Amino acid sequence: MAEQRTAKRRSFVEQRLGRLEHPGASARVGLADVSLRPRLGVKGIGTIGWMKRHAVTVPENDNLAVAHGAAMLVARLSPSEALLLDTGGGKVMERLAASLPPHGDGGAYPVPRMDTHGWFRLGGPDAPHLFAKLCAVDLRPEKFPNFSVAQTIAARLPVIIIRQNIKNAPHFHVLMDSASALYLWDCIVDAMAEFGGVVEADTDPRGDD
Amino acid sequence: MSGTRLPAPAGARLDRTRPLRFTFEGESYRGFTGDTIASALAANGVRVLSRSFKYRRPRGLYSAGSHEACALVQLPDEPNVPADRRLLADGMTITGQNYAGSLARDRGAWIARFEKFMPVGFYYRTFFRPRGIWRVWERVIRKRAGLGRVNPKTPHGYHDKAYAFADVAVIGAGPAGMAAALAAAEAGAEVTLIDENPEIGGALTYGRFDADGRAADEALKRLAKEVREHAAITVLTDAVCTGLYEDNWLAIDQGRRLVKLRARDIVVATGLQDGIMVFADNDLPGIVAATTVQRLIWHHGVLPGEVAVVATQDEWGYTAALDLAEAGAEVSAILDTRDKPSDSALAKLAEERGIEVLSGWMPERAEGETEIERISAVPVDEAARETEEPRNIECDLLCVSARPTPAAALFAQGGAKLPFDPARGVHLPTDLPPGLHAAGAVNGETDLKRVIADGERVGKAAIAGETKPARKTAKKTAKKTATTLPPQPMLEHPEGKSFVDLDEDLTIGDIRDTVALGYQDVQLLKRFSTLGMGTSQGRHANPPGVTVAAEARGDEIGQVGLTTARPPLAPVAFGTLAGRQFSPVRRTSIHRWHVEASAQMMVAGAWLRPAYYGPPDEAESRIQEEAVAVRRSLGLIDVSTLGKLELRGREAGAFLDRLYTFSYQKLAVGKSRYALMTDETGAIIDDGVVCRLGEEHFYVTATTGGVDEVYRTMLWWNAQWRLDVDITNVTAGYAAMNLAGPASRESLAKLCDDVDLGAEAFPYLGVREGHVAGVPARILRTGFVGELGYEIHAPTGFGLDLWQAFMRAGEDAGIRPFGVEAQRLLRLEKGHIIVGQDTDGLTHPYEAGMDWAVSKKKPFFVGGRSIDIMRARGLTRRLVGYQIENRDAPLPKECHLVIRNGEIAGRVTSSAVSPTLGHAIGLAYVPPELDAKDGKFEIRVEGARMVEATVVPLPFYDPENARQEL
Amino acid sequence: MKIMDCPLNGPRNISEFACRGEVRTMPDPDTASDAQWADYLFMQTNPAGVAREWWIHLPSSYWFIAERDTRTGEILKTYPPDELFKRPNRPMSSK
Repeated sequence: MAEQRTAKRRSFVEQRLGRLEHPGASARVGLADVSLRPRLGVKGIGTIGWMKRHAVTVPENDNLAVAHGAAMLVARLSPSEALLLDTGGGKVMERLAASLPPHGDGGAYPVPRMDTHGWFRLGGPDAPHLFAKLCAVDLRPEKFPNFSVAQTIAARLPVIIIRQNIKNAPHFHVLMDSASALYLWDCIVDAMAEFGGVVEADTDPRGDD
Repeated sequence: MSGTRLPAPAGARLDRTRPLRFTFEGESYRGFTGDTIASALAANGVRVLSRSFKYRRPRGLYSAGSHEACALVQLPDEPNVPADRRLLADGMTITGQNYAGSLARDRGAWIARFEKFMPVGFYYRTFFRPRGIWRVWERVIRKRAGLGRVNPKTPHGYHDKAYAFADVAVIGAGPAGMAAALAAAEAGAEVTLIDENPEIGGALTYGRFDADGRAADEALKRLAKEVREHAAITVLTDAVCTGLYEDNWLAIDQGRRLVKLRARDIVVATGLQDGIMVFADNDLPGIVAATTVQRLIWHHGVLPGEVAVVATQDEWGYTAALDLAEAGAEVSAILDTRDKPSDSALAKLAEERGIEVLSGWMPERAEGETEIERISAVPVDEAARETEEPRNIECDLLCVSARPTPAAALFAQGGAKLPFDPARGVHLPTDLPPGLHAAGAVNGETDLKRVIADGERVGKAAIAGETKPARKTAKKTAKKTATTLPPQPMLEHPEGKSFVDLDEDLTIGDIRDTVALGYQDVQLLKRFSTLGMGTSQGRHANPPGVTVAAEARGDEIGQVGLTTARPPLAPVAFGTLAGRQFSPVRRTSIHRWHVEASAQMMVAGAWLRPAYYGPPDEAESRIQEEAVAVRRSLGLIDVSTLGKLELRGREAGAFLDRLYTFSYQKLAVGKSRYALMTDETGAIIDDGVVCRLGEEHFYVTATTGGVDEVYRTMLWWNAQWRLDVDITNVTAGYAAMNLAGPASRESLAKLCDDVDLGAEAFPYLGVREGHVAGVPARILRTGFVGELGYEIHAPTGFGLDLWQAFMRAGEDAGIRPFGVEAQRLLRLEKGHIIVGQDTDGLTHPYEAGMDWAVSKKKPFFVGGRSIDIMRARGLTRRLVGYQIENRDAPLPKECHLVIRNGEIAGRVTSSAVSPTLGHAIGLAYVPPELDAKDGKFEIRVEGARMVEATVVPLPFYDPENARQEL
Repeated sequence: MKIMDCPLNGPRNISEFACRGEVRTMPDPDTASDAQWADYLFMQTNPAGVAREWWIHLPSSYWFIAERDTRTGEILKTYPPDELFKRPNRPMSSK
């Protein structure tokens, strides 16, 4: 008889590093592995049409994000690609994922971003300074406004960086190739030591509208 | 002499409450926090810091801005440390450089006696004549080349890099730089102000711009305060700008950190750098630049001499003479090379103090054993020298104010021109590109008020986006000014050396000889003589070098030109360049399990993969055991690193047909087919499997190392073809594992109950979607290792748990994890190629024996036309399988040569001992006529031994392919 | 470090990009002579002047076209490929 449901989803950092300790919160810069939060990629020429049909808020431009209520952050990566990040823990993501079959719907196709990409969240006033040691894009608050999206390279690794204010403080969502998640994790932990950065637990990432 | 410390306000950088101990050449000394190595040594009366590059002459501190290489010292873990910039630390152990025995008595100084045998360009000459002489000189030159010694045991320090951004970057925090930064910041710009010193202020911190020094003090107080308080100005001190690169990109060395700063506009306000005065033995320790004397006094509270002579070419020398006199030194004379006596307030003040001023005089020669003891001075004017007797003046300090040159190297790097300005006697920047600006002394300004005003003007221009340089060209300025500044006078003496380049030990005579040999062009002159090729990149050496060259050529200085000082402008430690090592590593979701199971990990592209499980000294047997386990019962390998692509859309099949050699439009849903990709020249570039999951949905695998390029190539073609297909790289999204061996079906059945695994329901090359251990999975029946087997692709988040479920389910069958090495062996037994190992950049499908993978019915595929052409021309080589019957013969290795009739006829691409067959097998390129059963050829293995091999048909194992199709 | 203005991602360091050479038109593989085909494969125009090239922004895998003055290195303009390639533009014969 088949052994049912023995497998458990694990975060990419946890999978490769073992159990993660969460020492607490930092005033200067904090790093959290939020890879277990649901997310979904949508791709194909029908992407924007599909989003509209399913009442998903569409960002006005490429490389721009928008909060879909408190439930979800929607980032538009190109005219034919979007990334939906669960920030509210609601059922919206589940419903949307179920409505996009693997073979596509009107030129929109699902992408398993839950598995292709790891997801970290960084916050704190020194987060832009930390990124300045890894990434050539200027992420200071006045230069990288709320809901900006950068598809760029950090520590020689392709990443997607999305800014979102959480409780009025700038935060950065960082998405990277899941196989390289631990590599980038180590780079960030090393780079943030200078600022007294700490690893935080995945607390509620609900962002400001 | 013994050094003297001066009371405050001299020594502004010192913290006298924190004394430091250090040693130099084994002697113990004391200094203060805030001292540089050079200032602490000067305070202790130590003057000889190093020996020179070629002649091993004693050298000491000259400029305190690293404008020559005389003050480089050795620390235990670090060679070539600039003593004039590096701060003293408690307990430092410092030695001199470039000597044998002791710094005071260098056993290597004999070399100077052979001077006449080492003419200029000596190094190049040894390459040519007499023939073979290079072999003799090489050992001597290699041993003596370089300055400090590298300690190979030095631990790698923590160096990192950071990016920075500014609207306006201002380099140099002197009066012009501070004024420019303030003007730009006031106008709303975000400004970064960069200076190599520990504090801002530049020359204002030590220089005296008028008789009482008040103007400099007031300017410093006002500007420094405003800069520090301005919210829009970021100040980087102890930061050396070492290069200006394209699109206003600056490299800034902060010792432990390399800052890469991008600015919209750059203001270069780097001011002036010390020149040297050329006379005989102008390199003796105790000959010190005027600005250095002032820095020693005002920054470090050190009086560098008790009896001083000042030699000057401008007003600045008078300020140094006054500083020396007021600090308590006896100033015996001021030698002013200018004919006309100066009538400035400074000159008057000097005379009031009773200092003798000799106008139109300069030193002809400096004398002393290892440091200066006296000088002989003569009139500059040759005619006057006939009538006037030379004056010998005793001194322990010769303070030199030679004509300074604008620190303009960054302009040349930025693409501006640096023509010679005859009115000012220096090279000044013109034709500045947009976004690059010059302010202050680099523009030729010397009056403090005008320097500050120029800084303000340029700061405003930078923010306004104005690109017009202050001075359009040097010629126009020259027309307005009637006078032409005479070139710097230079003197020679038969008993001494008149150096123009202190780094490279080049004299006036060397430059003349170079020109006489025909190296007239400034670029050739530089390369043959090595003028300006030393540590300081010609900062002090170019002006006198170019002056001598002009005279030797009979030209104006302006016609000689100037070579470009390339980055880095100051020496940069290798640690800084290496920085933190960013080298992304990809790990599968099962990585930790492999490591805990003693897997030996190997690098595959950016991935880490298990090569085999077990200790390295058992590698051979472990690999064979793993392979045997797959053949006999059951093995499991992590193939998550395989490239994986989703292609969806109405024309996905048509797209694949254009890209791969096979055809896929008619592939049934639920089936897979081998996929071979060639480039436009017909060469094999990748392979994998195409699975049809739906009418308009294909799942395609690619090689571990090739998938990123395959993905980009697919997107590139479709950027042109614009077919209705969406291509997505989902490589990291799926964990993949290959459950292989006769027991694989029953083992998989324990975990999967929604897919009929029966041989007929799910045949070889079938593809199914279902659940394994409760996880949604794609199951492929593949045959890479040649046994009944299933490749299971499941979401990466479940990878580790799925693997563990397989290991448990396979326990009864004796499941064994196997690594890449065993997999390579198994596939070789089946004759499957590995792209990149069994193919090279030219291999086309027919050469590789893959005719079967090329569709002859398609109208087009990338590479098809080229393959047709090559096939029509006939094969020149062919990849074949071979076996070695002699079981005692050594095993060939990859790339060992195939030899026929004594000639190279091909090479081995894969080689292994087959545990199943019991003898060595392999793949090799051989001439096409050998492509017949029982064709024989020889392989030359290590030690030039020859091994006979016999061509055999592929696959070696299970030629009927019965086992994989069970 | 040079800056390139990506039509999708805006100005970025050139190290985020890779070049795939000149934009060229494939001759009809069915009618081109061997010599014409070899010329297409191996001979680059390599102008001393404005070159039209394929570039990719690596982190976003976005292909675009850049026009560059090879004499000065100046990037004159960048634009999406659909300005040049419009469906049904099929650079090869479909027999």
